[in-house]
Amino acid sequence: MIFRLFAKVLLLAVIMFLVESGLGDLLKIGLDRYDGLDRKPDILCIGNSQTISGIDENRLALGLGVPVTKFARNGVNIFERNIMVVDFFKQPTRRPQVVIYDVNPELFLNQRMRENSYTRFFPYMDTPEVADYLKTKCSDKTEFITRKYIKLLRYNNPWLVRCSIKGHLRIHDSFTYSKINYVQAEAKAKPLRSNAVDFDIRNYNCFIETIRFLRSKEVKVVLLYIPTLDLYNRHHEEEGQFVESTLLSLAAKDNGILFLNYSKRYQSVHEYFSDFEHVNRDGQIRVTDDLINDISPFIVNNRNTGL
Amino acid sequence: MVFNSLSYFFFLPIVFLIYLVVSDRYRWLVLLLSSYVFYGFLLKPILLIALSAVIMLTFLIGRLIDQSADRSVRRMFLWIGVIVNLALLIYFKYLPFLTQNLNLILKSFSMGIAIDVPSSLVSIGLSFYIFQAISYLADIYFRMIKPEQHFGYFALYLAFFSKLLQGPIERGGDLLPQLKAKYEFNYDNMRSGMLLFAWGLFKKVVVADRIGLFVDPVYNDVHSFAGLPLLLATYAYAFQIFMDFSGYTDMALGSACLFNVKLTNNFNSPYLATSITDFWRRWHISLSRWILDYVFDPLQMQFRKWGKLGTTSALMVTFMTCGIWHGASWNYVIWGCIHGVYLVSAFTYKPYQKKWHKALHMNKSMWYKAWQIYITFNLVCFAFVFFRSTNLSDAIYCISHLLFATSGMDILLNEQLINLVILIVAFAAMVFVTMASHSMNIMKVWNGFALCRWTAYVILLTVLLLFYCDASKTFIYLRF
Repeated sequence: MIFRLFAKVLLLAVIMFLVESGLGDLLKIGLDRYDGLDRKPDILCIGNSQTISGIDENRLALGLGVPVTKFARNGVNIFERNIMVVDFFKQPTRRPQVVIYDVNPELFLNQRMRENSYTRFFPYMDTPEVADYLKTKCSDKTEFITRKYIKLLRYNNPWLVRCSIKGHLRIHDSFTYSKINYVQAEAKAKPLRSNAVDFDIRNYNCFIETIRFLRSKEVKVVLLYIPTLDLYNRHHEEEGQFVESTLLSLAAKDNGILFLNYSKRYQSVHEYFSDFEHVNRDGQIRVTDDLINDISPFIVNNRNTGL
Repeated sequence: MVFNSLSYFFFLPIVFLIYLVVSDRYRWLVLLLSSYVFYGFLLKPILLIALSAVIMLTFLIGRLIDQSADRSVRRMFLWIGVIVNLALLIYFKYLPFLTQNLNLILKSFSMGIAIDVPSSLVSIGLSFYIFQAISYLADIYFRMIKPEQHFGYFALYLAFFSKLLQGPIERGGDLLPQLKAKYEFNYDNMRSGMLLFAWGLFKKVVVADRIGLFVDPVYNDVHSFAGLPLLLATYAYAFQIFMDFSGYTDMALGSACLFNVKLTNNFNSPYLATSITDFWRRWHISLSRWILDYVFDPLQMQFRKWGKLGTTSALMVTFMTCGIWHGASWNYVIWGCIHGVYLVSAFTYKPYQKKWHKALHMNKSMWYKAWQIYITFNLVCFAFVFFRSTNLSDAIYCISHLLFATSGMDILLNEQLINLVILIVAFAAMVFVTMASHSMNIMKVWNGFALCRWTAYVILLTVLLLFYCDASKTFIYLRF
């Protein structure tokens, strides 16, 4: 009887190993598809939730006639974006012409980012750079080791599972139709001030490092300020001006860098916003259409024609 | 060490394997040592010392009670045992609370004296095994059991890791014979034990902790909310605490099953109770039995000459005790008092109940029962506001704003829709499993087809890996 039990436990362990590793691979395939990592794009969009809500990947691809990848995660900080960029270029076959990198007034600040944003990188922990980063962020060794050996644990975040399922279903849309209630937003706007902490030189250095890396790959960089609500901008005026002047000087020094500030254009069109920092579907269409017009001169449309 | 930690997933099989290979003569030693290791994982040596002190004192006093022929001497030893155990509990758990309140009293009388408030000590598990120790002494005093002669088995009775941290509060008469019984490997016990453990883990890490994602933001900052979010968070908390504690109990029962020990089930569908009395028969059963037998019954005997007033007084004192047992805070005292008031009202109303029902033509239809369940659940939830709130002012704010115009709903649902979907699916699965376990046909399929069982095991384990929520590393009742 005891051996029967041990045999069954062992059998269950083997089945579980097969199931979890198979399911883990399946989730990874879906996630890669959702992130557009299964493609060889001409345009790569890197960013956080502002990119997710602000850029319509399919519309951009159709408008420019080239494949587009939107590799974005909610709440990622500047270091995580650097890892995303490096990870993306690991495969030599991926040679985008343009990288669209979203920026905002909090770019160089020690922002109040999500404490657990690193958990969204567990699916990519087979890459050494990601693994090194995760080692520094995990709360303990167990968290890292369990995820290293049990693939399913890497997806222990409903958002990742949802993205993977959307990837398998080839659903790349990500937007909301909700519109901000400006009167209520005004009342809530005050606490925003307290979120901004001091300028952090490490953020600035990391950003410059990312841009240099991209330029070393002969990629044109579009620094895109996706619109944020005027209330938000007013509360981040100082930081916004600093970021703008820094990015403008970067763009002035290098022809391969373009800075597009859509926030100035649309910050007062309140019906484009779902909250302080995110645009809704109408805003997404407007941003994407403007982006198509502004970056089309950057694109050499030769992939599809094979020229 | 807690049941939902990785260390426990290694600890339990290792203990079981050692238990399996050693002879019957030393099995108690394996369990006792592993219980100390289990408790030692909390990294609080003082807790190990407290446990050892309770074991030694209770063992000694138990024998002294038994050896004394004179009733007054027996009573004296019983009181010594009870007082020593309670003093230890007070020292660990209630001293800061008592000192703070004493200072307030001294201040209100302008006496100009202030006692230094001691820092609070970790008291995990203490209130559970101390209640067990008291029940053991009382049972010997009332000659319901003979004192255990083997110190090792007695120590194991108090320290058995499966029920050490959060109960169930076991009686000596129930647990000691099981610990002393000759071990025979039972495959069905093993299978059901492991399944029960996994099911408990599911309740805790997939359901209870996920509900916490909705409850905690509201109750940690009640002033940002009004109306519906407060109401929903209160209802959600009722399910969170039930899933958390019943999940723990399932894991405790499942772990004990591996060693052929059957612990008391603490829950029996408590939210289907038709009255508050019925609720206490179904909720935290081992505690409610304990307070009924060792607090309410003796008090009622003492107060019997006062008639109905005696019973109501006994009820109030009993539930105040029950409240304060949960923690050193006025919130718990008020929670206990509210339940006391419910029960006193029920006790007072009972003689008129039949007459009123007849006069109002209320019969025992299904609808009437549903109405009773609904009312009882709401009464329980109302009391939970005090139980969950951080302090009394938060609880009062909560009560006074429960039916206000809604505000803060967007904060509550912000990016939590996916968790809401997971919860709805998990609840549907739990309802299905509960109903299926009562269906003869489904159980026939379950027992007859291994493929069906194995598919369920794999699905359960996969769900646990994929959807466990690491929002809370501990159990709610661990702090009691």
